[in-house]
Amino acid sequence: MTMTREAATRLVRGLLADDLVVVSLGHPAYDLFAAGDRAEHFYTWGSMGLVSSLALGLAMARPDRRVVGLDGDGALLMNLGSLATIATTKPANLILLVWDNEAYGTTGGQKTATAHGCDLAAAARALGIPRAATVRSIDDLESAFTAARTSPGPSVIVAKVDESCPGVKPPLDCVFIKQRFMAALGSDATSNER
Amino acid sequence: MMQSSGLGNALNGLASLLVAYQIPVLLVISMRGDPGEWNAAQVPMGRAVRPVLDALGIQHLTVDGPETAAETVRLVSSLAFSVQLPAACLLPRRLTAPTTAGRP
Repeated sequence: MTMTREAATRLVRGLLADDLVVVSLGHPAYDLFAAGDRAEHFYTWGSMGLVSSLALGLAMARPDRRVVGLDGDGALLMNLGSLATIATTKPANLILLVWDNEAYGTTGGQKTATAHGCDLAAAARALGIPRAATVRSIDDLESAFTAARTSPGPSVIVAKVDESCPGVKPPLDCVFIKQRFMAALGSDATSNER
Repeated sequence: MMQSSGLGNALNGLASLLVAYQIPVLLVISMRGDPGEWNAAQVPMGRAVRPVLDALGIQHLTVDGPETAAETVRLVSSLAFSVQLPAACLLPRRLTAPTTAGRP
């Protein structure tokens, strides 16, 4: 493997423009925060496996915005059915980017199924998302992510990465994260009006 | 919308996303495992629904009958958005299941 998740995250962070991001708990969230915090980042602190579902719902609710789900291989493996739902609903504004380090990095590096040959991009294609590919270098990631941002999705990018050791963490205040995110979306988190 | 069995599958997402981030969601849960149930596998989760919701601090109301269903759903929805938490509306099996025993 030729890129760390930290380096890959910094590259993607630089390409986001005004994209909305939902990021998986643990190291993927820490790396995104370290690469540069934004109000448009929804950092999860639990609900492992639900980033693809959350990003799908957000993409369907806000077709006017591009939505990036930053998932992990271990997390996505908990909720593979979500790929079939994405394939069925086909949100053109959704990119699911999977950091595949072949391990549960946040809990000590236990191997996941992708260390034993499980191919998540092939799974995405088989479940009905034709725009799904695996990348293994910073250059290929940049090309794939730029292409995904400039053409109709949904797209799945599986980026093979080496584990990195994030030194900082996002805010622990979940409600602050939600309210800041909603304000950035133009929604009033404190309003009772529906 | 989900069945009581689906609530079991959804628990960590409810707890660590919806409750922790104070995200209001109207849950409509059709019950299994309550009186009239024929499938023993549905009973343990069905009986756990209310204690589990209580343990998570998720308020719930049970629909009495078709006449009050719409009002109950409105009340629970209003509750969810006013307290910024999920809230649940439970549909007893007797209101949703066919009367003939032995059918799902």
